[in-house]
Amino acid sequence: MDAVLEGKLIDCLDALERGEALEEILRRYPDDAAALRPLLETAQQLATLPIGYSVNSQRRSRNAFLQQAAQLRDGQRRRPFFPWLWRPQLNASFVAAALVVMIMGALLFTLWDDLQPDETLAPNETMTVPALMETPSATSTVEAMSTQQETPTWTESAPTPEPQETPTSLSTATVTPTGTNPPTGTTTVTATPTSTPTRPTYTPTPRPSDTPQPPSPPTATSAPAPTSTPDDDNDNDNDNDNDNDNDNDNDNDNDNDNDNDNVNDNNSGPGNGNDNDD
Amino acid sequence: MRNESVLLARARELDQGALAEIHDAYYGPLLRYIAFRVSDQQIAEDLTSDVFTRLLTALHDGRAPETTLRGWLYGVAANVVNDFHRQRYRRPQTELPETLASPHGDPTEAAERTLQQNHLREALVELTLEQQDVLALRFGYDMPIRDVAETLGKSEGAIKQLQARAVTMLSKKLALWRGV
Repeated sequence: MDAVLEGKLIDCLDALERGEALEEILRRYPDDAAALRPLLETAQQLATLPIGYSVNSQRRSRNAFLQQAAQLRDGQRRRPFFPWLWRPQLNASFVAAALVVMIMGALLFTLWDDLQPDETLAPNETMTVPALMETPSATSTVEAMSTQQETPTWTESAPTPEPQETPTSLSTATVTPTGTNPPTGTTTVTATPTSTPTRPTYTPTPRPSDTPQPPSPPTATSAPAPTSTPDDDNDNDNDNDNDNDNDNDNDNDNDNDNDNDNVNDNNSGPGNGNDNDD
Repeated sequence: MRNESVLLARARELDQGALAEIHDAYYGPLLRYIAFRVSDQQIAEDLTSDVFTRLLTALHDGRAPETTLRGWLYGVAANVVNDFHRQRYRRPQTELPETLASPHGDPTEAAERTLQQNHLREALVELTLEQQDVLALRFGYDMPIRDVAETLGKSEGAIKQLQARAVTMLSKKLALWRGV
């Protein structure tokens, strides 16, 4: 289409927009009426193109629209405090951050727990040392409560600390079994200082792996303890070691029964009492 | 429609009356505009409802216009139609032929008219996007030339030229179908 005819078409379309009749418009352009007629008829068809819609479709759309609005409005009313926290992205971020903090906390706690000295008791045992007194008559009572093992049927002396390491700790410990065989075994270790009234210091019991104990006989007297045969000792060892000893510890038990009472209490692990018999 | 800024202020509060008024005022023009861009009536109705859904989201998020809705709704409708065409391009569908004729008047004449209207619709979607926009706004959205120019950011002369060329293109296509 040349520019002249295009200009005439534009004028005709303007006239149609103003509402003039088609024949009246074409009369103004008699020379080009034949070319302009199909174009203007197409434009008329466009204007009258039946793009109708049923009342039902409009009502359906309107109902859905208003229903969505009602849901949005209800959601606004129920919006909690700190609404920024409830946005999906922030919510996911918050949960992720909380998880990271929890994991880091668990790791730190585990590290802290590993760095603690080994004199800590097993989780199920309690230790009370009220003997931090200055008087020579002070008695230290170490009470080990275990809910997992039977009451020891024998008594042994407390571990004898090495003299080089603990020169001031000259107290002897007496392990007194309380009760013959109750299920809630309670072992009372009474330490009676026999030397200078120095403040009793608690010396961490050396690990068997750190300082191998000499096969010395027990230095403490077993107060009302029944006389025990070596077989009995081994049996009793097994009772004490059931919960807390590992295989390696049990190998030492054969030689160092006295030491392992306290030492092995500190080692947590599954009960391996059957391994100690040999 | 009365002052749209007042209506929009109520609509931002999700007032049911204001929203119903907006829907009733713009449903027809939006449907016609979209029907100019897609040839299927059912799809046009679905897309029109989608435009109102987006309006609700914008009102809720505070992105809705403050003073007038007409141009904003046109922009949303154009985006909805473009999204539809993109999806359709990725997943082409075969349309079923129209077999039902109008129950009114001469069946032959009505069938002829329906066929011609279908040709016109199919020809519309073959125009350039600019030409489709101009014709859809002009004859579907029922906008005067001046408003179309303002909405599309063009001069009135450019819009008139686009309209004239689109009409010429449509006329040629219809002539081809008629075998002229």
